[in-house]
Amino acid sequence: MNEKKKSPAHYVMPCDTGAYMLNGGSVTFNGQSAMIANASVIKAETFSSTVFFGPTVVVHSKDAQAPNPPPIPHDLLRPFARSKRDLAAIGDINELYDRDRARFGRARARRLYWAETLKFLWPLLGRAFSRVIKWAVIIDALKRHLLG
Amino acid sequence: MNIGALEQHVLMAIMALHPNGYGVSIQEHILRRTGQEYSIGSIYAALGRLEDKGFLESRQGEATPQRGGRAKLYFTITAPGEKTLQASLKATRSLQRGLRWGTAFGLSEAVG
Repeated sequence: MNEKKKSPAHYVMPCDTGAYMLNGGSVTFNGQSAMIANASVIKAETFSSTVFFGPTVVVHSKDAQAPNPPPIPHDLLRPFARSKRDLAAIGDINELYDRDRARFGRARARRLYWAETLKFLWPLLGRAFSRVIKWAVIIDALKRHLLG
Repeated sequence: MNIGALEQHVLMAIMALHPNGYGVSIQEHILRRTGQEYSIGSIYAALGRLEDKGFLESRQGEATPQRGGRAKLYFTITAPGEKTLQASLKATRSLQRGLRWGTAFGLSEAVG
């Protein structure tokens, strides 16, 4: 992983999509993992104009509270994180989980996270399914035309 | 251009929260004001439609640990968005004027 050491306490990573995930003291970016040891919270904007250009920095405190949502629905969401809107929606679902966990406890927050995830995925799956049906009909029609 | 009830709610929430309207705050604002709890998925579907039509603009905000490192996306209404919302509310008000309350309970005759 392309990682730059800013100071003994800070690790700065350039990234081009912002598709990253923080998990406790480690960071995963595009499927690759790296440990962040003793890092402080740094705003992404802090370095965007001085060190890197564009969406740039992933930094996280080892001590800060990561939401740790249930892994299965979280992994279901990840392949759909294509646009900045999808990424923001996944962040919002994480934020809701964090809020619900504080308000209702972990068990209910997990159920609500599952519900939000399925509601988010349902229209995407519906669109994917209708695309498959459309192509199946086109291919079938072509087959009939060419063979028959 | 026509917009649905959800789009109307979302546009009004964004105007009320200006300039800090993002998914969670929009959802909470609508819940507080109307009692309707839309899922984040449906709110983002509406936001996507409205942004694609040019009624909204978005800017990226800060990422927090609570969001798993994902940045917020703040939305603001554009001039065409405001115009469309005004037209939509005007149409709703116009329909409201023609209502005869109590018809379901057989009161319209008594009232009329």
